[in-house]
Order: sequence, then structure tokens, then C-alpha cells
Amino acid sequence: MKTIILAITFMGLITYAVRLIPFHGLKLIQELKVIDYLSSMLPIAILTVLVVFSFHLEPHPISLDTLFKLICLTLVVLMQIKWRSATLSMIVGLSIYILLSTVV
Amino acid sequence: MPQKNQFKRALHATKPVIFCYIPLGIAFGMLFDTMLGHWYLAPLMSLFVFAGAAQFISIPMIANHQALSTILLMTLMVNLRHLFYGISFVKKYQYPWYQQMYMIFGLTDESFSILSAEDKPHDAKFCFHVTWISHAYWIFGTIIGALAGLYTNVAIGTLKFTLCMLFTIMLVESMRESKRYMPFYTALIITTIMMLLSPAYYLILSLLVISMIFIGKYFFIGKKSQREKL
Repeated sequence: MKTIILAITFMGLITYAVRLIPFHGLKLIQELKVIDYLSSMLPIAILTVLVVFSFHLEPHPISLDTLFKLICLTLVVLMQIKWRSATLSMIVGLSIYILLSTVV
Repeated sequence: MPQKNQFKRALHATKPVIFCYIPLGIAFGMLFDTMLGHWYLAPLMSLFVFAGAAQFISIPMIANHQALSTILLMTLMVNLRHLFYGISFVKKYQYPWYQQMYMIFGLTDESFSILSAEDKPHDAKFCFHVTWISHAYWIFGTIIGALAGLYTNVAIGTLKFTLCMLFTIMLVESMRESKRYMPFYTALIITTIMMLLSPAYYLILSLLVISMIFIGKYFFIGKKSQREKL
């Protein structure tokens, strides 16, 4: 619980600081073009790392469950590309995952 | 425009946010409660942090006992884009200091997109209403989700996978909108290498190495190509 409270406190402070900086250091930020570049590149990179991280949470990476997850993630990606509906992709992906985990 | 009309206008403008913040808030609340326990801390996080992506990301990191510094570095990197939201707003709006402080706090992707998309001349009260209404939706969704997590028995493995699917969808959409694929391939290669080299610290190491690669690319390749163009 202590870790969660600490995380909430510091995450709140960092988030607020990032949003506050432009109001007090406008010139400096505008001159730092590298930040502009990083903020265009980092989100995709971070999301990729997070997909790997959240996929790898299970203690046994090579299992039937891993195969089910890969099938469902492929399906989610294809559906998202085709229909662009996050809700639909999530519902179908999750339903198939639950079905595979229960039946097989 | 009278204050009541500004409130109504803000309520109307934030309608799309309901479809985004409430389902996501519910998902966040459920995940938080199932993976971390202490359901009441989930709305507290939504109240004090108000950064959807960073909040979602922090759940598995806290659950996996990642160092606080790693969680904070991730928060900083994920929220880096907010630096530019403030820049486009700083000169436009003048509020009383207490409203200004809250407006800065509530400058999220959604509130930024609503305030940027409005054609009509901006009013400080309208912007303030948009911010607090959006924040209220987010907290409301989180409370519903946290309570649902408390009273329903959802398998933790399934919820963990939901988070993975959510990140995947966000990744697909980010790549589609930006048309940038290089960060994806770079991150995938670096994360795989780091996972093999250091399974315990691959998350933080991957983030640091990827950032260094991009900074290096900007200063060495980016500037060189700019000079060549001249």
C-alpha cells in the first residue's frame, strides 16, 4: 500500500510538472527541438515495450496460454486495422481468449 | 455569455469524452482493484494523477514490484507530449491563478483536443468547465470499475491480458496516425535484446537505450541531413 501511495504522489507531481513547464519555461522548450522529436518517436516505442512487458507477465512464457494470447493479439491487430473500433477489437479478442482458455 | 450557458456548452462539448473516459475508467478501476487491491486508491489516483496512459502502465509495474524510479521515468516519458499542449495554450488564455493551476493539471489529450477543436471564441469559464467535467467522468468511471472489481470475480490472468490488448490497440492507432514504423522496430529489437541480457531490469534498460538511440539519431543523423539540405 505504501508503494501505491508513493507512486500516486510522485506520478501526480511529475505529470503536473510536465504540464506546468511550458507556462514557465516557454522559450527554453521551444528552443529544444529534440523534445519535439522525442515526443513524436517515444510514444510508439514505449507502447511497443509495454506490449512486450504486459505480454510477458506470466511466469511460464512458452505454454498453450502464450499461443492463445498470440492468436488473440493477431486477431485484435487485424480487426483494429480493418474496423478501427477499440471496443469491438477488445470484446472479440477477450471473448476468444476466454473461450480458448476454457474449452482447450 | 452567461455562466449557465457556458456550463451547458461545456457539457455538450464533452459528450465524446463520456464514451472514452467512462469505459476506460471502468477498465482502469477493475484492473487496479484486481491487480493491486485497495480499491479506494484507484479513484484517488484518478483524482491526483489524471493521466490515463500513465495510470494504466503503472498497474503492472507496481504489481511486478518495479522500482519507483522506473515507474516515474515511464510516467515522464509517456507524458512528455504534454509539454506541447501547454505551449499552444499559454498565450491564449488568462485565468485567475487558482483556475489556471487546475487548468494546467487537467490538460490531457482529450481536454486539449476539445479545446483546440472549438471554433467559437474561447471563454475562461467554458474551458474550466470542460476540464473539470472531463476529470469528473474519469473519476466516476474509475469508481464504478473499482467497485465492480471488488464485487465481481474476474480472473487476474484475463485482466492482465486485457491490458496487453489495450496497449496493442493504442500502438496500432499511434502507428496508423503518425505513419512512423521505425520506433516500433527499434523498440522491439532493443526490448528483445534487453530481455535476453537482463530479464530482471529489461524494462528500464530498454527505455534508457531506446531514448539514447533516438537522441543520438536526432543529433548525429538528423542534423547532418539538415546540413546536407542547406
